[in-house]
Amino acid sequence: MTHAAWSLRNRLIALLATLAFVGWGTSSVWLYRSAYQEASELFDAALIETAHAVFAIIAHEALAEDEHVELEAVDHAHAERLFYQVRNGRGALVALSPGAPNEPLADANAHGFTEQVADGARYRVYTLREPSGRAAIHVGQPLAEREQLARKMALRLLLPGVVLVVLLAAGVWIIVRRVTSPLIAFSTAIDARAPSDTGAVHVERLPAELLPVGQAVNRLLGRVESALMHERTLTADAAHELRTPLAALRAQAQVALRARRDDERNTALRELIGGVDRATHLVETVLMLARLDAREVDRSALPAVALDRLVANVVDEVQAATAVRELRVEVDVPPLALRADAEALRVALRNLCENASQHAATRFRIEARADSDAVVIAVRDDGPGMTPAEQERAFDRFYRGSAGGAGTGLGLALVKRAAEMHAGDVRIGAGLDGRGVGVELVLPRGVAMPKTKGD
Amino acid sequence: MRLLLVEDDAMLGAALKAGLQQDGHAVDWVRNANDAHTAWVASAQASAYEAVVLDLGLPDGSGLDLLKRARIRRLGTPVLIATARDRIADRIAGLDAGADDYMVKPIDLDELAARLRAIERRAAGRSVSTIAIGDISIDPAARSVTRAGQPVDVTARELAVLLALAKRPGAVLSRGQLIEALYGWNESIESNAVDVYVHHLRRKLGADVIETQRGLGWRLARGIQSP
Repeated sequence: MTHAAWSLRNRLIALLATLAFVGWGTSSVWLYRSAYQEASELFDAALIETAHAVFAIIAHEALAEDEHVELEAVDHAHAERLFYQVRNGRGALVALSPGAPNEPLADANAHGFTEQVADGARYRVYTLREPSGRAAIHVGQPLAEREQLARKMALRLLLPGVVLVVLLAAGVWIIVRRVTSPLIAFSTAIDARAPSDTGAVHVERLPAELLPVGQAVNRLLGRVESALMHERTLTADAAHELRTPLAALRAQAQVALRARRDDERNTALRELIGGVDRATHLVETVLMLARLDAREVDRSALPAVALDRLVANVVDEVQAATAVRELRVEVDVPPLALRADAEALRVALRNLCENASQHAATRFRIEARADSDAVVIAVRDDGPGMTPAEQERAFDRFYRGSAGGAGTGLGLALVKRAAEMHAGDVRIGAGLDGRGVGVELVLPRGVAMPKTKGD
Repeated sequence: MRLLLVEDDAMLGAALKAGLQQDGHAVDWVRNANDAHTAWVASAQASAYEAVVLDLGLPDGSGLDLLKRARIRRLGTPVLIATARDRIADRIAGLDAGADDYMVKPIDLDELAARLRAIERRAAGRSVSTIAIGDISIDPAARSVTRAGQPVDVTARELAVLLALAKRPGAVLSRGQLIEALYGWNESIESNAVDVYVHHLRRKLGADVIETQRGLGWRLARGIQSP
């Protein structure tokens, strides 16, 4: 993997925490705005209330004497500072509360709520007019202070929300960790396994969603186990198969050495030579198999091989064996060219023909036919055939049939490897006359092409 | 000794059989587990073999399974495993399954012969390699026989007859029993072969050594049983 793996747990925590945060943020904005508006309305109510109170207390006096009077500041329940000015009928400011600006808080003809800059500060102002027009009262509140107070009140309301969101995040973290812990435990358990440990993982305590994964892992481990077993068996078999002929050579040589009579010694020496030939054949077969195993085939670059000519050559090669046993060899191969690895195909056909010439009772037949999908090359004999159990293992390396045949046990393995190289298949089919064995080599049609010779 | 050789490889089997015959054993050779089972485990005459030389990797099954089946059926026949499997774990498994000895291929025929003699000795409850009957002393390892200290030259077959009689002193062995001790399945047996070997032994060791029980068989003469 080139990118860092993402964590289910971390992503879940992050997403849920983001959700909580966004929810908290949205509600906070809404809360703040409505709290701010509420506070503004309260302040406005206070302005109106103050205006009326001031009017009731001082209006008459101010109107009558037309004097400049100092007035007491009005304390308000909210501790906000309110300033007011009183105008007479001519529009002159006749009274100011302590700290009130000297500039007028509103135009002379203002009415109700207005905003005005006075002495460099901005004010929210309520103007109450005496019905006859002889006096007006401006009650003002510095906008900055007013906003600061409103903000403070609104923010105080947001505090519980902060605590809530912290608790929520902690809750999310704990719950996600707890819910995902079986997943973590499962992956830790798999990670902690020894490389050679292919035993099943415990799935009894996995949650329903994870159970199929656990079971799939166990199925996979099972397959790995059987592949490993197969590999080990193969190695043990190969050791056995290579050692046995050498052991036989040694034993036969010793028999010759211990022989007291000439005929005894000669028999042993002839056996010894036969053994050397057989061991040579085995080594050559193993090397051939190793060569085919290692060979990578680029199927598009394969040369065209004339199947009919190849079959004729192979039949010639096994001629000695078939002649000794007086077997009839039937060839039914139409002129056909294949894109194939010539050596692999020749080795495969030769092994099939050798097998057939060993097992056939009276005859064997080599046939080939091409249909729209594939080319099938079959070698069928009328020998004793194979039991279902033998058919199942027929292509295993070093398997010689339950009676322990005389061959290397690698012939059909070579055929199988040759088929695999061409992305084909090999299978056991019908023999001849209702008995015997037919080995069918199936090569995909893509490999074949019509023969051009003679067209 | 009459031996069952279980070995699937044609050439190794032939060589082992030839080597064992050179040592004077009667050898029956089978090449798969099924035949071995028929000849040894399922056989009514379970005691026909004095030892089994057993390969483990057989085409139709494991020699180890065959051995286990034999031991389950309480067959006490000594078994020597001769196999290419050389891992310690395989040897332990083989011996624990009831084998008396374990040899890894390649097998030296002389060593195999010595191990079979050791198995034979243990089976007879002897600890020394020579068998002494009266003034006759038989050394199976050296394949030598002495009478009253004088060496006597005997052939492998003659030695086999003498050993068969010496192993059960006092008992009468029939012609069939002696033939079993001398010949494997496929060997041609001349009708008077046993008589010929007995005759040779009497000539070489002295006429008093083997008594004929007419119609029953032969036994070692009582007279030589104590010097």
